[in-house]
Amino acid sequence: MSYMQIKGIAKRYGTYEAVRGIDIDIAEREFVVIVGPSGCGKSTLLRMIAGLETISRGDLVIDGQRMNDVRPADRGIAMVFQSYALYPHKTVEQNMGFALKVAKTPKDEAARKIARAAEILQLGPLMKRLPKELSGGQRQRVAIGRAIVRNPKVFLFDEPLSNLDASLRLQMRIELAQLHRELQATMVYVTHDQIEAMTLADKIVVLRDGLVEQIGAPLEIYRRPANTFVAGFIGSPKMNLLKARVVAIEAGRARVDAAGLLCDVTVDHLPAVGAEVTLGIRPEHLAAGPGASVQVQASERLGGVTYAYARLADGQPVTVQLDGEHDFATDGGLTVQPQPGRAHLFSGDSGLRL
Amino acid sequence: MTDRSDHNRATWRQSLQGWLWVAPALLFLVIFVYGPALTNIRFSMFSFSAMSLDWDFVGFDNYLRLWNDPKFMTALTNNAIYAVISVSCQVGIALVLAAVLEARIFPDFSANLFRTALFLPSILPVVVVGLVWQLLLTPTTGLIDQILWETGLASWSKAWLGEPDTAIFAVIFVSQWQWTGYIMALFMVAIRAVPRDLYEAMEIDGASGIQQFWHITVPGVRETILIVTIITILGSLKVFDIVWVMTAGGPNHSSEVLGTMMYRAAFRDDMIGYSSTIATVIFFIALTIGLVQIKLQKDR
Amino acid sequence: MAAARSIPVLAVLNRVLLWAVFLTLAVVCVYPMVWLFLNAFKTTNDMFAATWGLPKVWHWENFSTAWNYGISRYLLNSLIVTTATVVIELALATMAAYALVVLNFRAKAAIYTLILGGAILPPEVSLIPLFRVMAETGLYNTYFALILPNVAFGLPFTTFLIRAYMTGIPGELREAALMDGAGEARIFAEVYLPLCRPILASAGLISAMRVWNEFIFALTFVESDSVKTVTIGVMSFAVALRADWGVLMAGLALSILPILATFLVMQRQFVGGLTSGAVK
Repeated sequence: MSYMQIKGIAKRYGTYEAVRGIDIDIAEREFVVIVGPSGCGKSTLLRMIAGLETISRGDLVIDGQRMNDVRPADRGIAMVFQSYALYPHKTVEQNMGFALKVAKTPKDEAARKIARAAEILQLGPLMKRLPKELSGGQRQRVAIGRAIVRNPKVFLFDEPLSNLDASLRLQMRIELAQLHRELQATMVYVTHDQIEAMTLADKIVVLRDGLVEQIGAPLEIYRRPANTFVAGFIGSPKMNLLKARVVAIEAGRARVDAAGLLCDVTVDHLPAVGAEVTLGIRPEHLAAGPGASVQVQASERLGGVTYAYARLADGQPVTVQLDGEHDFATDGGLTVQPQPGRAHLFSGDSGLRL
Repeated sequence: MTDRSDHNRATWRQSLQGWLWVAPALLFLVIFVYGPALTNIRFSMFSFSAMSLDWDFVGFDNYLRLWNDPKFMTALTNNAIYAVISVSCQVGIALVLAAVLEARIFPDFSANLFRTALFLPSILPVVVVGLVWQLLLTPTTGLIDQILWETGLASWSKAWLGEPDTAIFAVIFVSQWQWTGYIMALFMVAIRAVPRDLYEAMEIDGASGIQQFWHITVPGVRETILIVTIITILGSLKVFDIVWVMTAGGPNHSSEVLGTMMYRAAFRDDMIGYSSTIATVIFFIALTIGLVQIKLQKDR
Repeated sequence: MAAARSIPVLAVLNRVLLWAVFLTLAVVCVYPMVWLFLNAFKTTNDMFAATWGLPKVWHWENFSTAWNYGISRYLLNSLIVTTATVVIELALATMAAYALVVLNFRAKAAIYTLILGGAILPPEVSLIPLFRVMAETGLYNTYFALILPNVAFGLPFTTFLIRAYMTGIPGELREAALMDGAGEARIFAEVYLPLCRPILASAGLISAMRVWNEFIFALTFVESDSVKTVTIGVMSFAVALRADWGVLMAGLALSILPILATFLVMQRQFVGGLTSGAVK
C-alpha cells in the first residue's frame, strides 16, 4: 500500500513551470531516490514535499492525509540539507534538541531521544562541540541526527553527500544504507549522482525538465531504460548511443548496423527495415572479438578494467570496456563485438525504447 | 481553482507578517523624516512666525524673495566651493594616500599607525573639532599664528576666521582635516578587495607604482569612488555644524551656507516660512543628487 | 648603466619623501588633540606664554572644575540619549532587516528603497516641522526629543549594514528551523540574532558615535542643562568660559574622552564598522 502519494504536483514561477506534474507512489519503508541533471526540478519537488515551497498544482498525501497546506513541521517529515544547515552557534546536542525544545518536549524525554540518535550515529563524544569543530562527515551525521530525533514518518535528503570528498562519500553511502535498514523509515533522497541512485535506492525516479522519465528499481532501469535520456544518464561510463539502420527483421528481433557494428536486438515494437534507430550498448557489453573494427583514440587503464575510447568507421565515438590486461595499441585498430542480448534499441525520432 | 486561492491567501498572510516586521522602522521614518520633510514644503508657502497664530498664504513669494536675497547666492556659492574642495581632497587625495598605505611601502606597523592617526579626527564631535580649531586659529595667541611667527612668516598672519575672504576656507580646511582620513580608510578597504595577483602580474610586466595606480587601483575601486563622491557632495550640501560652531556664518554672512542660513532664519530671525523655503531648496538638491546616484548605480 | 644606477637613488628619494609626507600628516592629525589635552592642564597665562610646551605645573583641578561646572551632567545626558537611541535603533533595524532578507511580502523592494532613501534627506529639511511636533507633543526639552529623531535618522544606514550582513547567513538555516517547528519570532531570536552579533557590535558602535557627536537636534530640541548633551553642553561652556581656557579645554577633553577611549580599545571594530558598506 502506498504511504506517500505525489499526485500531479507542479510548481509554477510566474509563467515558467519548474515541475510540470509529477506522480510518484511511495511505499512505507521504501528508499526512493529522485535523480536527474541540475535544473530538472528534483530539489523543487523535494522542497514542495517538505513544505518549503508552496505546491502550485496537485496533491501531496502522507499517511492518508492531504499535506498541501500543512506547516512543514507538522507534516511528519524531517529534512537533511545539502549544506547540513547546522545552527553554527549551537552545540551538537542543542542542534539535535532544537526541534524538541520548540515542541516543548519534557526534558528527560528529549534527553532520551537525543541520546538514542547519538548512539545510532556514534556522536557520543561530540555532543558538546560546535559545528565548526567537526569534520564534514561528522557534520553530516549531526544533520541526520537532528532528523532522527524528531522521529519523522519520512526522511528527506537534498544532495546530502555532494559536499564530501570521494572516499567519505563512499563511506557515508554505506552508512546511509545501514541507517535505512536500522530505522526502517521511509526516505526520499535527491541527487544528481546516478551512482548514489543505483546503490541506495529501492526505487529510482529519473527526472528531466520537470517531468518523470522513468520510475523503477535500479536494475530494472539499468536493464530496460525507457528512452535514450535514461539510457545515457544511468550507468557509468555512459551507454554508447549509436546512430544505426535496421537491416533485417526476423523472429521478433531486429538486426541493425551502426557503421559496421552489427547487432541483433530483441524488441517489443518492431521497426521497419531501413528505419533510422538509435542503438544503445553499454561499454561493458562490448567485447574484443571478431566484429566491427574501430579506431582507438585514447585509453584509460584502471587496473581491473581498461576503457578504450574509439571511433567507428563513420567517426561516431564509442567507448569499450576491456579486460584490465587486454593488450592493444592506443592509436591503433581494434575489433569489437556486442555481447548477445545486452543491446537496446530506441526510436530514431522520439528516443523511446522499441 | 482552489489551488489559486490557496496560493493568494498564503502570500497575503506572508505580506502581513512582513509588513509587521518592518512597520516600526517605517513608522519612525515616516513620522520623523518623510512626514516633516513634506510638511516643510507646505510651510514654505506661508509667511508666519513660531508664536503667531495667523499664517499668511504667500504661494511662491518666499522663493522669489530667496532668489533675490544676496545671502542666498553667497550660501550657494559657499556650498559649491565646499563641495569642490571636499571632493578633490576627500576623493582625490584620500585615494592616493590609501593606495600608498596599501602598496606595502611602509612596514605593516607604521602603515597601521598612519592609518589610525589619520582616521582619528573623524571620530571626534564636530563641535569639539570646531572649538579646538577656533582656539588654534586665534590671532597671535593661537598655535597657527605662533608657528608662522616662529618660522618667520609672520606677514602671513591673519584673523583666519575673522576676515570675510578667508573664513569659509578656514572652515573648509578644518572639515578636510577631519574627514580625509576617514575616506582614506574607506578606500583602503576597497583597495584590499582588488585581487592581489593583478598587481603582481603588472609588476612582472615591469609597470611602475604610478601605472599600477591608474590601471588597477582606480578601475578596481570605481564603485567606491562613485559612492564616496556622492556622500561627499551630499555632506557638503547639508553642512551646518562645523560652520555654525566656527563662524556662525560670519563675518558679515561671508561664510554662510544653506544650513546656517536656514537655521538663522528659523531660530534667530523667526521667519519660519522663509526658513522652510531654504530647507525645501536643500531637500530638492539632495533629492536630485540621490536620484543621480541611483541612476549611476543602476547603469553598472 | 647610468639609468640603472639612478633608479635606486630615485626609489630611495621617493621613499624618504613618502615617509616625510605621512609623518607630517600624522602629526597634523594627532597634534591638535595632544595640544588640547596638554593645555587642559595649564592656566590661561601659562598657555599664552607657552602654547607648545608641557605644563610647568599640572593643574588637575581644571578637570574637576569643568566636571563640576556641568560637564558631568552633560556626559550623563549623552550617555542616556546614546544608549537609548542605540538600543531602539538596533532593535528596529534588525527586525526590518530580517523581514527584508528572509520574508517574502508585497512591496518589499519599495519598502527597502523607502528605508534607504531616508539617508539622502539631511536633518535640516525636517527640522522646523519636527520642532513644532516636539513643541506640540510636549516632547520638547526631554530626552525623547533627541532619542526619537536620532533613531529615525540612523535607521537607514543601520538597516543597510545589518541587511547586508544577514544576506550572508544561509537561508537553509531558517528552513531547517522551520522544519524544526520554529516560527519567525523564534528563528529571529534564536538563529539570526546570535549570528548577527558581530554586525550588531559594529553597527551599534557607529550609531553610538553618531549620536554622541550629534549636533543639530541637540541644538534645537532641548534647552535646559538637565537634558543637554555634551556636544551642546561644551558650546555653552565655551561661551561662558571664554576667559578661562584651561578649564574650557579640560571640559572639551572630558567630552571626547569616552569616544577616544572606546576608539583606542576597539579600534578594529571601529574602523571595520565605519568602513563597512563601502565595498559591496
